[in-house]
Amino acid sequence: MRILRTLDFRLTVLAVAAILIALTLGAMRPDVFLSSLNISSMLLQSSTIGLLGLAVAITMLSGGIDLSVNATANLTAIVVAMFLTAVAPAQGSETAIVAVTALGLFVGLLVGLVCGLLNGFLIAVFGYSPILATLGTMTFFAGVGTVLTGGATLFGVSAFSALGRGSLFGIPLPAIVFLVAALVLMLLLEKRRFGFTVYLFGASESAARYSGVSARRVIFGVYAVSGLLSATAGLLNLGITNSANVDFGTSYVLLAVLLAVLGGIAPSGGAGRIAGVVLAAFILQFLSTGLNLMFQSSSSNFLKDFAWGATLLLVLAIGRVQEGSFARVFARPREPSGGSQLS
Amino acid sequence: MRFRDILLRHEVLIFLVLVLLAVTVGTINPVFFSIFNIFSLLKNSTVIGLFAIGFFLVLVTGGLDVSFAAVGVTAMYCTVKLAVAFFPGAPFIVLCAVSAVIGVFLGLINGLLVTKLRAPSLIVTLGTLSLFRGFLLFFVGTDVVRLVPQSINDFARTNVITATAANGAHIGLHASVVIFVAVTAGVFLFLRYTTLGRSFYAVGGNPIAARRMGMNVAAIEVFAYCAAGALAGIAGLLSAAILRLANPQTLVGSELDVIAAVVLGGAAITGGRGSVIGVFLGTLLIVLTNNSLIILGIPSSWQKVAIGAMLIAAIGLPLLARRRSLAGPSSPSEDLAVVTSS
Repeated sequence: MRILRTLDFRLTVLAVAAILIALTLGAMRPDVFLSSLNISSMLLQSSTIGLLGLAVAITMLSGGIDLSVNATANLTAIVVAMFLTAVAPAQGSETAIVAVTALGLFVGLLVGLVCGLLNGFLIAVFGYSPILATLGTMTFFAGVGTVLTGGATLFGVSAFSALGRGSLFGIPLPAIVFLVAALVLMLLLEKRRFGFTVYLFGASESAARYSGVSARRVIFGVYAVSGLLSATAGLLNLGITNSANVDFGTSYVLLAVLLAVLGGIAPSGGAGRIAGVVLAAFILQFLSTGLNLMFQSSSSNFLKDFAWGATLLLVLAIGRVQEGSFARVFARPREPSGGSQLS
Repeated sequence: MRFRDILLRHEVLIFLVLVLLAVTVGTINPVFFSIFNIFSLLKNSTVIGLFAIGFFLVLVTGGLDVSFAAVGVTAMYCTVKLAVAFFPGAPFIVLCAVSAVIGVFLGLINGLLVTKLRAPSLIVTLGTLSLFRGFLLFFVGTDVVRLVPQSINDFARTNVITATAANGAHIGLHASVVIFVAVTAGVFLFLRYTTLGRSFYAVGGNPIAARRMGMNVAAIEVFAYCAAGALAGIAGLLSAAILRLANPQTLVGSELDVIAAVVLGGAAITGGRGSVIGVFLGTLLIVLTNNSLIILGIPSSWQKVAIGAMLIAAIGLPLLARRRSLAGPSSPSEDLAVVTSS
């Protein structure tokens, strides 16, 4: 019984779906899909978008949303690229290169933290609605990035791209970063006091307030973590593509929201598991690779747009049908007459 | 006290900002006050303005429809494709109607999904945005239609008022401005003087109360999404008519100007508050800001910083004003805001 209780229904469904999709694609095109090149490239691609999905997920859990994740990631990549080009020694010793790279990582995370804290400040102190605050900062960060670069694409530094293309035991380094970040986030949310207050705050802000949870602490914490995760995604992108610009991945905001919802995070907050978001990232990557295999034309990107939109709506519909069964444990208290229609 | 109340009304504040900005820009560069510039400002406002009014209609009922640009571009492109294939000689008003009908259909999809799925409307319409746009570009086509029906070409050249500039050039006020003003007036009257219009505010302000008063909340919401779809369809067609070409890859991605216009106009993102006049002024302010950056010679890369900063500032204004007039943090309307924000 204990095992049954710990087995989350949603996670089981997601895991089975991921395995089935991978098996189907593997059976259809074993030579292409199961090649080590394809597997490592899928891991590589799912890591950045997965991190953005985690960033959206934690804000969504708290009952908010962060639309500025991709703008934060791009701004981070831009600032770090500029920083590295400015200070990197052309022909330095090994330790100098390591030191500069580490400094670059630190600067990047700092940018993400500042972006996240700005969001938190607008929401917690000024009382902005999360949608509007992050919509405003999304434009603002993109604007700052445009001013910094003048709209041009910046290129990184070789020491940094070695990190992005490196691997450990055959697993790409970015994928390891993604999984470690997910693990840390999972522990933070499910084992720590802070995580409990995030769930409570997302389920019912009033209840959280009346039980003495500091709203400011939750909001600042959540958006700071979201900023850090976005910055990590930006750093990985800089490492993988060795370039940074403002327009990178403009559709990633939708994908990140899709990942969070597909992963089982309740769109109105308070319920959902981080492990689901990780599984969702892999499922989406399998599907994306599958569509590329089937439609090798340039317009397959548009088919993906269509497919992601349809998937998001389908997941919402399934969640609606099953609302009564598995989500009851974590579900937010329902308004007397269908209050969730409000938003 | 009374004077201060009038002064603190959002519409008055934004009007003063508008005047201040215009005077500043006009003093620095007198070109700003030329009839040509004012006419082109108005022409540039029509598409953003129509989208903004549609977005506002949904917002008043407490929903967020971010799919309007995708709806507009889908309706526009399908209309032009249909017209070129089947009825190339149709008058412009018929094309407008076709585009609006397609918009209503897409709006109906939005409205039904939002009310049936009971998920936050932002997330649902993010999904339909991707769905509509992906459908358009994968199934309908990606090529730019340059040979548009003759009526569109005629409309593009139609001016309602013609003035002669100092250098002898003829300058006209474009006909699309008339459509924009007429729609603005129509929606203004609808929201102010009809029962259905008033119920929009009731549903957005407090849906539970509206339901207990016997209103069909879901039907009113669906109606708002359909109306927004119709306006988006017309706006999409006008954007094609002004440029005399139908490009399926435009509009999507420039949503923020529209949302900023509505928010600058004082509409509450949680619904139930705001006015059409505010949206109209907000649209002018956004277009004016973009225009004046160019006239002042500020690099266009600053445009996003300016809009983003203005948006953040504008959200703060009503919040600060409300904080002064309301009691503690646990007042009923705060609790309602908690429920409605997502």
